[in-house]
Amino acid sequence: MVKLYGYNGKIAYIDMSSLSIEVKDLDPKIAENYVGGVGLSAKLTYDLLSEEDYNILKQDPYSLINPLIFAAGPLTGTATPSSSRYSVTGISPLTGIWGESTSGGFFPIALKRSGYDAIVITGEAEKPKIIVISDAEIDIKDAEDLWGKNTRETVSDIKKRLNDDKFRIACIGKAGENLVKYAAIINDEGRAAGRCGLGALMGKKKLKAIAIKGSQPIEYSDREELIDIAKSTLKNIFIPFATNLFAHYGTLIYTDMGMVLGDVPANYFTNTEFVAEDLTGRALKEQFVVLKYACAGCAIGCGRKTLIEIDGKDFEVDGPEYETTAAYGPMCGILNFKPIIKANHICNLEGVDTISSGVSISFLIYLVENNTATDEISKYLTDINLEEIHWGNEEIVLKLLDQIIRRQGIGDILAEGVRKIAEKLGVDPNLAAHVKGLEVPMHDPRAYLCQALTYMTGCTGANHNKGDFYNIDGDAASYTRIKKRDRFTVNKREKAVMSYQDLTNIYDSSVICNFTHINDAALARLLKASTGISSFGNSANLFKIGERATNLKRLISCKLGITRKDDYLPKIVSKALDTGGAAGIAIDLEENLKTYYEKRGWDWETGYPTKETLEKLDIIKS
Amino acid sequence: MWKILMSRRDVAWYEDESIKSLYIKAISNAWRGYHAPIISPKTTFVGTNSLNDFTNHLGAYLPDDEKRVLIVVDKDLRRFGEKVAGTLKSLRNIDSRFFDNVLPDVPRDTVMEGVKICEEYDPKVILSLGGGSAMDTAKLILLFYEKPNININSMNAPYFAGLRQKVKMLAAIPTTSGTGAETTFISVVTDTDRDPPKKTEVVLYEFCPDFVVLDPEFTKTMPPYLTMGTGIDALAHSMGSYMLVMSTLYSDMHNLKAIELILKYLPRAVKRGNDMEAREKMQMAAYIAGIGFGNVSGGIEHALGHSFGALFHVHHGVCVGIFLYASIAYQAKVTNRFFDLAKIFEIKIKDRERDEILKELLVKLRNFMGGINCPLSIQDLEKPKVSRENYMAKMDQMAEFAFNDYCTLASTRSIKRPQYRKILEITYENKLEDIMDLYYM
Repeated sequence: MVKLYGYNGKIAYIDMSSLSIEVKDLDPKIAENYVGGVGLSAKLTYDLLSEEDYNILKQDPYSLINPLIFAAGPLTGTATPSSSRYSVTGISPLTGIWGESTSGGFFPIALKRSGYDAIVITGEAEKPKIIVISDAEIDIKDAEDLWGKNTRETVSDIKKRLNDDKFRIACIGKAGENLVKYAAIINDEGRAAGRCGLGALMGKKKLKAIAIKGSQPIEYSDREELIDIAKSTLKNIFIPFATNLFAHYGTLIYTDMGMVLGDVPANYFTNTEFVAEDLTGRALKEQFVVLKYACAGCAIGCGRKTLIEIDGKDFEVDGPEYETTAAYGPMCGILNFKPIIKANHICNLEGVDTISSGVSISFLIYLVENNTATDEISKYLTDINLEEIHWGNEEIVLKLLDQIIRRQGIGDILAEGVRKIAEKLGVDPNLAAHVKGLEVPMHDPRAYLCQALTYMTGCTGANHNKGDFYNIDGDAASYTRIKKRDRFTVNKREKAVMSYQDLTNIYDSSVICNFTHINDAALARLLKASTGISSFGNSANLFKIGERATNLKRLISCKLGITRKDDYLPKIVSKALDTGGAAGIAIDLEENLKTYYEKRGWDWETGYPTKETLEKLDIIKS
Repeated sequence: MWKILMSRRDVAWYEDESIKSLYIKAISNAWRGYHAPIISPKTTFVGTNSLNDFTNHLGAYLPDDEKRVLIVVDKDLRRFGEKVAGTLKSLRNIDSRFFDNVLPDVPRDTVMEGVKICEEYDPKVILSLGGGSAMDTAKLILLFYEKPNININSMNAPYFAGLRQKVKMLAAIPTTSGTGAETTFISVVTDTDRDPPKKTEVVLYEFCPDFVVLDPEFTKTMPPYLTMGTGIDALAHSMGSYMLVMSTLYSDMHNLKAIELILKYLPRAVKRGNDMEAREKMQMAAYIAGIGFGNVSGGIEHALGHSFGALFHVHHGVCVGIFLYASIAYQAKVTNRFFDLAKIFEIKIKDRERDEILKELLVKLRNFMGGINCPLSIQDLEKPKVSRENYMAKMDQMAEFAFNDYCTLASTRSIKRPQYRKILEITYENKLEDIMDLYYM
């Protein structure tokens, strides 16, 4: 067996149905081809699923075979800046295709030191359980008493039960238990693996939490070199102005600058102009006591903890960060922080993706405001009157969130996400703001057209972090292959969109935070120093590895039913707006999509990567 | 980013697409918490003894063999210059020489005439006396005298040219109460090296004067129209820049106080030029409005005023005043900052709709400007008259100029050519309902 540096070299397979545990070695060839994190998880998923499994999963994403995978990477928890990060993947209950999310905090380091590079969870327990990993010892424990508890209570109770504060815990709240399709997994209380509804998959498996205490040694190929490169990289991550501002004010730096650019959606993507000055990071600090929160080993510290009084009690709550603020703020017609902070806190407590939930609530308000499907909507309303649903009604927004978590009344419909909401209410599917079932996040695709193409072609659907092109054309990041141009220009930039998606896969496979925007050359050196794998040291090869992950994930999604027609932005987010920083910009990227397909080596008819592409990337054998 | 800022360009910094793109981020309030230097004159002498105070200070500061001052003035104000030169000589034996070829719009070649005098005379102080053109000329003489090969297109704040190697200080004595140039670090020059010549804004912190003399006697002879026009310029500085979210606490306090002073004292100064209390207060109002807007930016009323003024040669203050209504209304859609302006006009805020507050503000502003005989629209202009046909014929050109003006970069609400065109269209008559449409659109 070849020795693996930078890895544990082990993968744990846990079947929740039989409560059995199997440990396998990590194949060095897979490590070399897929690195770790999302890349490794995609490969493990692909190897697990048969053609028949895909057919079953198409009918039911909650099928027992659906593997929920927690994974670290060879840079997780190293001296690399902002590297306390892990990935969680599975077939998404929300979208029915490949789903992935990443999160920071302190849990990722525990996972990395757990003795395993990935934990693959299949099956479904009869009763609620928690998985406890203590220095490579895996134990599955009963957790019926935790079912129904929020994430803070869960963390606190588990630590008490294990009588050890050193455990780091990722868990779900009531949203995951109740199978809200966009339920999140929350770790370290306020860090969320939010997108794609993997919290619901965890809930379906009756897995309330994973608690890890790790101190397993990791041997690196060249520890000194790794530290040296990490140090020099640290200096560079503060070159873009945005990184400095993140450190001062968190991601909320963007609200007012994004508003002027037309990048912050409001009133369910029908507007981008609103009073933004009270929703900025600075305004938050002016209105509340705000403390800085940094994930382990992160010099940026974009996280925030806000001290707020709720119902007469003082709370220290996480965030809010930009995406949540936009989704529960201007998207719902709310222009003050208090209800946004409350919504964010509830989402953290009960494990809800703030983007998908905010967009779903906003969709309902939009329909009612436009007198669309109101008869149908009225049938589902409980404890809410139709006329109470309008822009800016803070109380109703919070009530709707509560009903979503409990899947009560109209909340039961909203908990399905906008694609299903449109289906169930019988409204024009072009009004549902999603790509492949994943709600469009808080960067309006009309403001950055390369971001639009990124959304359209994204493996998981519309995700602003799987190629954060708004940062490239917004002067916050730059790479040799991916350069800033006019933000409304896509022509001849399809390759740059691809490269950025591929590079993002490397970030999410390594696994490090992409706010560092570490360039590919430095990333290559870091990976090589960690693992000793010489092919990692070549940045061109890194892009190839990223491309491989993109294509493998695409292949999985195609097997689950994706076609070219799903690479599409609905009219609600693609028709031109009359006002704002992106006024007059309509999205019609059909030709760019063709070029993208040609360069990707994807079949225009089926949407699949061609056989040649898969062979070229060693995804299938020739 | 630094590389982009410092790269040598053939066009001015605010015409560079990369800078334009960056500037949108720089106007955010997060950026204000990261980078917001405060620039203001080091020492300002205020009151009727201020010229003597300044002279005594200068006399103590300059060694005997360096007591040389270049006085930059236009020909009309040469008599004021003689008074200053006399005071310098009699009080502290300070020698002086004149450069009196200050011209409107500050052509670069006339600036170079001033530089030539510096090369012969070796002044240790450059003192401007007059309005904006005199001060701009003085700043540029300083620049080109000390850095003859500098590319003005590669300069934009934050930028340090390393001035005051040959000249020890820059001083200013304003004779109008409006431009605020005695406090700002910006200078406008008509770049005669470009074909066709182009008005270019040069930004350099070192342009901020070291000494300012605010003696109301120098403003006493301003005729009512000039008093009104320059006063409205100061009002537009403070109200226009207050509407920008780019503002800071420092600029806010200056702008709000300036508005308060202007509302109270400008009507008095216009009515009776010899009301010296009003003259003094207006001089101070213009000075603090200059610090307020100088540390932020002019608003879109300035972009429009520059554009319209360049084509129709109307007094700058009157131009920016006419466009102030549209500027406030257009941006009010995305900011609540006009609430503070409304409060100064004694407008009730609580429990009222935003558009009601805005409308009342516009009405009160109109009443104020009408009360001092300021034209309220393009069609009201008398000096010179502007026909609708002529105005409409130049619409595209004005929209283009305004869009490419540096003040456009700081707008709180995204604005491009079509929106500028719309504003220009409605401003010919400036009907209240049309102005309010800018808020609703």
